[in-house]
Amino acid sequence: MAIDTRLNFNNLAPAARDRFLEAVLKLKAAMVPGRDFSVYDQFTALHASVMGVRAPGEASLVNMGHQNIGFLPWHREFLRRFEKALQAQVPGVTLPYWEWPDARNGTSLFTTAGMGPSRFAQSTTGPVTGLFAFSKPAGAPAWFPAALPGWRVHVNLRLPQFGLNEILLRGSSDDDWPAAANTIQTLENLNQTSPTANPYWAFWRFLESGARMHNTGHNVVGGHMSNPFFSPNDPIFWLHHCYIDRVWARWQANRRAAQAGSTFRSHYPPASQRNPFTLSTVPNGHRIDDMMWPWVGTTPGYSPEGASPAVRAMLPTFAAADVRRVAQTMDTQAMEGAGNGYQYS
Amino acid sequence: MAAKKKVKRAAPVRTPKVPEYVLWKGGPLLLEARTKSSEIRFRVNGPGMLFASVRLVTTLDALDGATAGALSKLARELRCVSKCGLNGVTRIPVEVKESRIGAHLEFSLGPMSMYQSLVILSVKTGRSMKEAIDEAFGAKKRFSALFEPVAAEGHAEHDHSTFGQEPDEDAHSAHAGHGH
Repeated sequence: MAIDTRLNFNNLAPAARDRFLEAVLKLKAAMVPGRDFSVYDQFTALHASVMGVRAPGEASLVNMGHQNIGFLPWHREFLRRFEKALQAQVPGVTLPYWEWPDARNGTSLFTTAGMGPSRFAQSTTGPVTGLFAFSKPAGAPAWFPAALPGWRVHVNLRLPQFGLNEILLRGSSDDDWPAAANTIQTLENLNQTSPTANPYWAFWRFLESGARMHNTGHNVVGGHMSNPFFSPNDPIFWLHHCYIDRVWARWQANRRAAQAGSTFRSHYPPASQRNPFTLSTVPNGHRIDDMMWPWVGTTPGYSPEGASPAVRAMLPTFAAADVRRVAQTMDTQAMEGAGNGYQYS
Repeated sequence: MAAKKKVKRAAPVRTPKVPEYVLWKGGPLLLEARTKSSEIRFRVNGPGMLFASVRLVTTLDALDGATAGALSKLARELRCVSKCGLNGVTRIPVEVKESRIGAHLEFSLGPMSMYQSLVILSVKTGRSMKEAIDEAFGAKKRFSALFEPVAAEGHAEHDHSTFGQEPDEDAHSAHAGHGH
């Protein structure tokens, strides 16, 4: 029984920061036996594949991880699995978050000793330098994995038509970032409701696609991060989403405190509630009791048809009993059962 | 005793706040165009995927001033760029679109993305958007001019191999469903 604690990257002591960076680099170096890609690359392939999943009861492909209310639960599970994979490399590490309001150049996050310079407000993209550069940096720390020649994007996880190739790129002309600190505070207390819409709807829409929120963050970092399919190629992805998850966790806590006797379920739309923005039904994978692909065990009818064969071939195999439902992600401190999970500082 | 001379202080010069419109699911479908600023910013979620373009529509009849010629004059005075993390800064043409029912101004939203891009529409001369619109139409009556976001078709977000390509009709019909 243990509760992990996730911290602001900028508040990590140098030793804790280095343990996290070591774990990420080791995961990138951990090759899947007999294959030419790493365990890290499998996470990127999974993110690309969730964009178009054939699911029971659905006439069209479903994006199980974006553009609907399951965006937050799916990424919460995705991040927790990534965190567990990091812990398999370096025991005890936890995911830090990129605190948007205080993280521009000059903070420890975007330095060569951290996640690499951001290249904010550049008119063109350019190679990431530091620990995530194409070639192992000169003077790399002793813990830099000997087997890793540098941070290289796998051939199946590139989009050459957009110039996204082997070298990790960042840089964007969109420099309108970050949101003001009080904007985040307002969002964490948002209670915009109507008789037919749980307050979660407005909260989710704002957090995924509001100004200077999730979608903007991807665009502001630019390069590989701005491509929706393969954005986890840039490891800043995890810190960006970790902050989003923290905002959700704090919103959940605020809503539960404001509504005595309410449960986590109270603060997620009931399965029968229609999308108040489009009046459409909520697709499979996004409703509170739905299974979330790829964690659907042996249930037939699920297939990531939108992904190319090459990307699908990279996906990990999950155990038959490995089933995760949206509802199981509601309480971060019970992700793996009561008293097993994580919390935020 | 000489009377104190009242010194009239010049009013501080205030730069009009640049309006920022977020284009997202369920967002407003009509947005004020006659603003006091010379620039309008559009935060576009899913350019080319969720939103295809933005139109300028007015309450004016062509005989009141909203002719294709007036629209062309206005189009020449406007500049539109997209700031996108994949493609950098892209110039977007502001075009006059004609149909059997009339003409309107329209601009696309730049390179396709499932995330968000920043589209900036500005008046080249630096005067306000309201002044530019009012002068182009020369209308003698009160009117409204509004931007109308246009929904995209197809579902390129499902398949990275077609990402960035124009959706075809078959793909669109096969993916009609939840509006996601």
